[in-house]
Amino acid sequence: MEKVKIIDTSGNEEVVELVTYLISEDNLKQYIVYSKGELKGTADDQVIYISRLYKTDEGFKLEEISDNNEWHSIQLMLKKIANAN
Amino acid sequence: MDRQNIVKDLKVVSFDIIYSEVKDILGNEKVFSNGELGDIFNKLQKTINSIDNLLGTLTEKDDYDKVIDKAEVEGEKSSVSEEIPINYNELVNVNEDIYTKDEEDNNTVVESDIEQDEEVYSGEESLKENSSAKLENGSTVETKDKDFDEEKVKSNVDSENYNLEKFVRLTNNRVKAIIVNSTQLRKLRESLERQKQLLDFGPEDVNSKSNEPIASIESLLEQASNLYKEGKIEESEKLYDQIRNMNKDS
Repeated sequence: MEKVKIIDTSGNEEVVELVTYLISEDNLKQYIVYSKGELKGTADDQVIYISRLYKTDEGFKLEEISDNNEWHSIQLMLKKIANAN
Repeated sequence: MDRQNIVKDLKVVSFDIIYSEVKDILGNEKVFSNGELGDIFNKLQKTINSIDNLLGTLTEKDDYDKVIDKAEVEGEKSSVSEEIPINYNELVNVNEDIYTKDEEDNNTVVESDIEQDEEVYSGEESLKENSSAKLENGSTVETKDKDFDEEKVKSNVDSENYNLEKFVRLTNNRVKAIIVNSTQLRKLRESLERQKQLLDFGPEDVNSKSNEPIASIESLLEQASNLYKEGKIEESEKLYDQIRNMNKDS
């Protein structure tokens, strides 16, 4: 289980589990998928978070997804991996 | 001996005492002064008071036993009745927690049109504070439960955390979230290494990956130049074509 650190705009740090990365089909967009270990419901369901990932000279940056089409395509990417046989 | 017999005996004894006192006085001096009469009345009064006290004590003791018994019974009842509200409060608190979580979780679920059969739901983050508290609580419990040297553990955790890859959020916008089941999470976790390789940049080999093509192009250019100098023009041109294609790809 790989851990990474998420730092918000106020400088607050939070250690989370790096679940995986997602890459768009055109290879132009990358996303990070992480978990805070939050269980939901009774069947060990967990909440995972997804952010757009950028690599800059200063390191990795995260941007939140606001576009619904983009979010929809991310869900398809997630399903492709999570529901693979 | 029951209570009635005790009272009867006490009355007999007290009567004897009073009678002997009066008899002594009457026997020694047949003329009573006011003071002597006062003393006799005082003694009588004291004796009566003593009897009353004895009787009262007996009555009180009887009542006291009953009170104790009653108190014990009531105590048992009250301890039970106190437990009920405590447990009830705990239950209420737990329920409130669950309710709060559910409430917040309900807020997170914003996209209800996700296919249920695929068992993937989606939502937006609103549990940030709760979740960070969970993490903090979890680590605290872990260090205490294992009875480790807290300072050592803390320094280890600090150093581990220090070396972690950092991701800086550019905005304070809500993070998109989605709920997955354990199987889906496992598959996503398993895909991590493969996905890392697919990334144009990997956390570990960002520099090496980005520098590799440049290094190889430079060496090929040098090689092509040498071939050209050696008169091997065809081979040199092939190599230049290869370099051009590499430049296009990168």
